[in-house]
Amino acid sequence: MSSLGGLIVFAALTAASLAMMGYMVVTMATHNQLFTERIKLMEEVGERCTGYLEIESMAKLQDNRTVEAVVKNVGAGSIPVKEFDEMDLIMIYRNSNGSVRAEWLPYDPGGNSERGWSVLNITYHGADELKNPVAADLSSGFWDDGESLAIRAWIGGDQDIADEFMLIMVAPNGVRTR
Amino acid sequence: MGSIMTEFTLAIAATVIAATLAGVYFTSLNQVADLQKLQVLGLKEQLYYRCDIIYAHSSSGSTIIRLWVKNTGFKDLPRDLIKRSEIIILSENEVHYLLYGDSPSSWSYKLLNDSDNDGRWDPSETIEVEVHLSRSLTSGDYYLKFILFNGAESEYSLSV
Repeated sequence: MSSLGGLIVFAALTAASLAMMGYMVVTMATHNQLFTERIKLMEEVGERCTGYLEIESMAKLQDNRTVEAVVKNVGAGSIPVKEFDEMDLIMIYRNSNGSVRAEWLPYDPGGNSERGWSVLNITYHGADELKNPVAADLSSGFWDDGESLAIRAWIGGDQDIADEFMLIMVAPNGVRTR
Repeated sequence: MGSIMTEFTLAIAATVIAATLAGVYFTSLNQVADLQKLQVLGLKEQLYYRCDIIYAHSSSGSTIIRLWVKNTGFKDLPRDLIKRSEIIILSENEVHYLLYGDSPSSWSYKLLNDSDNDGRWDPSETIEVEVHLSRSLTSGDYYLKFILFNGAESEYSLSV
């Protein structure tokens, strides 16, 4: 009968060890999953925090309500043309009354709105873009890193840009002009 | 017979001790896992709902401040959650704490590029916030804070 006691102890300890190992495996898998999830979240945040947009040039046209500017994508990732309606363009200017105004302008590829902005072209070092070229009708393509986006922006007919002006452009991922 | 009883008692005692130790160990592991889950949930909520003040504009003598705020999170916000946001304006002499509404000291908003017309503040979309103050602004520096329902906030310095 003494071997019976030994067997019971052995069986109980084996069962407990197996249960513990099983539980440890499940726990480690859960920890691993949580860790992976955290890394993914941090990666997503990282994607949103990189790069900036740089205004290379800007000029006011003679009608005093239209400006043209060239904005370079410096490490902000590839921005799909389809998402241009999620970009922000704010124009800050002084009108002939002397007051400083700030206007958020909607993306208007057709140029039909009273106020808005549209794309003129996308170039790479002054030549046609090489990577993910944009379709002529702006239905596809990307504004990639290192490429320059030429835009035209215009304010309402009841306003005018008397002298200096500023542009703030923000990409859909929150990356903005410096 | 006495020997059998002793062995049996020892076996039961060993099993109970092993079970107790395993229970303590499992409980600790559970607590660690729960804490990690809470951390991830907290992290997710902070990242899902975020915003960024792109620009703020006003002028001396005005009772209105305009803010353009972009949803830089990963989740859309329905109207009810947008309206639960708060605005704090600090200056050298005064503090304004503003809630959404129609009163003289409140704020309202409009969606600027709601391309899907769902009335929700989707990621990458921008709202124009109009802050109405009961007193007009005097020249000086102001510090603006837009706080979402979950405590995520964006700050902006404005000089008029």
